Amino acid sequence: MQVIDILNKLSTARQEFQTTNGSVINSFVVPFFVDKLDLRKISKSIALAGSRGSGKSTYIQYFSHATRFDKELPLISDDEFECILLYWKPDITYCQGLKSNWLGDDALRFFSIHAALSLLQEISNLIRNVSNHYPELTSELKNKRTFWSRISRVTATEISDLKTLNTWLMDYKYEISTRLNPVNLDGILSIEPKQMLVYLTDALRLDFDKFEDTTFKVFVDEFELLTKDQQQVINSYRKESNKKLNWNVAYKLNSKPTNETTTDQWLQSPDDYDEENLDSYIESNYKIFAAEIFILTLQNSGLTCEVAELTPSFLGNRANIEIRKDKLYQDKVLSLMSNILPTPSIKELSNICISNKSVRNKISTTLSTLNFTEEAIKKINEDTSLAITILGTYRQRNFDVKQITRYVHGKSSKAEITSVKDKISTFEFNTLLSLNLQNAFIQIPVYSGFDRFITMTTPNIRHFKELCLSALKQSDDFDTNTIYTSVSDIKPISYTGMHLGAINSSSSLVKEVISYPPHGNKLSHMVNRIGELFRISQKSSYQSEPERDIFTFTYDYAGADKELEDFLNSALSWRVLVEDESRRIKDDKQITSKEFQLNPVYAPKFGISYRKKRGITFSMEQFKTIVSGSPASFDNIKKQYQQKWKSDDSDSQQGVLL
Amino acid sequence: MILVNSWLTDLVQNIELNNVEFEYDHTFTYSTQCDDRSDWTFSYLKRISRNVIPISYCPIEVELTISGIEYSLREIDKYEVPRGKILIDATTLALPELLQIFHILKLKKQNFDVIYVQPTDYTENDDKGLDKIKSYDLSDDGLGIQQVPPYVGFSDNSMLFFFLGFEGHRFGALINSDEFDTSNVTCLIGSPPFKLGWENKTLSNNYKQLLEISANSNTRYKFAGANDPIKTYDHIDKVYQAADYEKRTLCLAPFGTKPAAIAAAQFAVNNSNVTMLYDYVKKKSKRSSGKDLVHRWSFSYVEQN
Repeated sequence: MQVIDILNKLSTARQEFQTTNGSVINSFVVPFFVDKLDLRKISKSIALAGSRGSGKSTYIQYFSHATRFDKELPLISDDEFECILLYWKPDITYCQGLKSNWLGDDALRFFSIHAALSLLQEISNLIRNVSNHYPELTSELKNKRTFWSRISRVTATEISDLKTLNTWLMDYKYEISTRLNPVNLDGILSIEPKQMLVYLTDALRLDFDKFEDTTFKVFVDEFELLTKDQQQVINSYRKESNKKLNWNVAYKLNSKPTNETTTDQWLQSPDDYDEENLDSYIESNYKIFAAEIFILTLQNSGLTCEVAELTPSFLGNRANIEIRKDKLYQDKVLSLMSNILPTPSIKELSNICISNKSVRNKISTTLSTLNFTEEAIKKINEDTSLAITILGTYRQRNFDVKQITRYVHGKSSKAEITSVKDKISTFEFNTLLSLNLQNAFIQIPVYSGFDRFITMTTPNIRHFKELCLSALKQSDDFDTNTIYTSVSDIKPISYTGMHLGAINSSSSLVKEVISYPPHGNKLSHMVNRIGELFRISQKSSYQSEPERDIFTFTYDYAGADKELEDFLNSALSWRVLVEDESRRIKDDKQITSKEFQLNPVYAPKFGISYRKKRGITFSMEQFKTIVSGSPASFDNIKKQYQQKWKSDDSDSQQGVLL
Repeated sequence: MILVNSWLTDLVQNIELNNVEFEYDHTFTYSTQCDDRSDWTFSYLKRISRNVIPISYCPIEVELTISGIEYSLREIDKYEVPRGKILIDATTLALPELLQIFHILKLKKQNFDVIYVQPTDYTENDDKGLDKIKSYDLSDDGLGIQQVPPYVGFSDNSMLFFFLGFEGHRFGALINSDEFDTSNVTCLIGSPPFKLGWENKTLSNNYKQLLEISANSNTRYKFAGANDPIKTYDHIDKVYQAADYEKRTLCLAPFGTKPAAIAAAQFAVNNSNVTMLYDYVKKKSKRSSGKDLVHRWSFSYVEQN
């Protein structure tokens, strides 16, 4: 395969898990935490929360009957009957269209019919899937007849086989679709989804002994997008969950679906359900998980992999987790990734930087101006990290020529050595970022490398894949006819290639923000304007503190400004912002502990840092201007910061397309 | 069904407002003006029509307010259309209002005319950010993409027909929602556009979205004059026939020009199994400038065979 073929296959990343039959077999890497979060084993009702791109739907589908009883599986254990998981992703646009202000009580009736028909389809698929491995199910249902007679009762039609049931479902769905314009419910079946499931699962238990003790779990995906009335209905079901039939939901992290039910008994956590945060599970072993997923994706695009274990079926089998936790195995996987996407150390980046003649000249002039001796200058130039750090910090008030001189001559105390090394570790990378922004002719690949891709995307696998894909597009082999057959054939992407790929990907993700409903315009203003302010800070040649990329504003989050809180929740649920619990911003007057960072994946677009370092505090008025003010009013804020940070306005473009 | 049976076009500059005579008894229009065109249109309407009836649609309450009286959609047929010749001002009315008023007039078997004034330009975004590609500053955040009642239906098996406009992010919102089958979408491009070269603006503002849907899909493109509801209607009909053949519903997303939205609204009221999408963006004031051509289309009610 040529690089272009691989790219074409991979560009479908977004839709690759949207399978037609709901099975994720061979396209799912079982995460290490699977035993801790086995959706079938948790007896309580669960609310699975995960940010966009965290793989919620795929995770649920892994436990659903579609995957557990997939036709391709050679052997099914009888244990699979302990819990059967039914997956339902409502037709959200349709459900949102069923407005009670339009349809009155009929709105919920239409919703119930939609839910019932979808779940009936799931039951039909369940029987099909289980029959693939247990053909006796078909004959048992036929002989004992409880199930089919109840199906006939529910549908008010004589049905005794799957084919007829599926045809009925399709016809009835069509019939329902004609009943909204004009609204006409005459003669339409009134099916209550929960009662229907109780009735039918009971029939399955009676007709087929393997279902006798089965717990049936329903997972309602994209729950946060249902209307409040619809959420209340599902919440009532969740509240009434029991061992036989258990209702669960999945929603975007930080979205705030209602806990109300159709009665005055509201849903309460932890009494009625537990919220499980998928992101925090993924974060724990994100690096190896992301690497495995990317290699699996490469394999699914048609490449082979010489690491024998790394097959789709190996990664999809939970029995192999212990092997995958082994260091030797992980080293092999990570080295495969590092081979494709090598990570330059910060020192290497400094070396790349210093190979630029104008940077060398700049250092030389600076050191001379600072009155370093010839000998000290020689020694500083031998330590590129130190030289770069000096370039970024020599204007600081506490910059001490004597201290550096002692350091390079090996005459420092232990404490002094630590102090200089700390300064390097804090300011070396910072200086590289600044140099990139200050000079159009310098392009240090500060965003390159597998490790940096991991830092910038945790825990979003989708973003990780997009960065990798974008880096692959920069491959030297892109325009050649080189044929790859295996993953290890892929030629390492150049540092600059990865760097440019990251900037392209990042710019594209920033552009996407405006289309995140319902606050797209405001979110986009916030990202672009705050990104621009941090860029101004980063560009300043006077770096008094480490990279600024955190912000906060004076608000106590006590519900006084609902609009603002809604907006922030939306920003967090789309993961445009990341909340940072720690307090990095030093401000005595600060009344809030909430600090925010733009999603680190946006950093390359603005040329700023993805590391969490220092930040700024906006006044409430400033923040509101940033989010929804006119360009002119934002320009005023920008000017204030330009003066404060001693940064000029001439925004020389980086040597890349933004 | 309602059909277009004539189309008159003139230049605004050729119309001397003082010489305009009453031609209509009642005109449905939106109550607020937001740019040059709507200011002119409002003055024009006061001269060409004896009575002006403000209407607005509230997507949250799902009701249409006509002359200050609220009508819920389920009792919209209770509205008595006043006697006389009717004009609809499509310059200021948005798609949901056009759709509802077409719906009422078809129900009442009433003939009517529709007027639309083209702008000479749209307002560019003057945010001096890092991006150098010009984008357009036409609207603020809305409610997000929704189906417009009563044109509501299942979306998982629908064929999407999207009309491209100058705001690519509105298409992006639809793609990002992951709720629609974008692997089989038909896109309408207004060409010839209102002004020569504007089709490039449509393409450049939707470039990212088109790239995304083209990566793994069978995207089809249709071209109709940006001010031509008749040709647009024909295209919709062809896509509808294809969808019907595959037993799928047609989902219209008229986010392009108003004349194209007129065709979409007309098609929706004429046919069954059509769902309509809209995002209820808030139009910005001064979103366009100038006034160019004035179009008037006459619609008449014809009994369907």
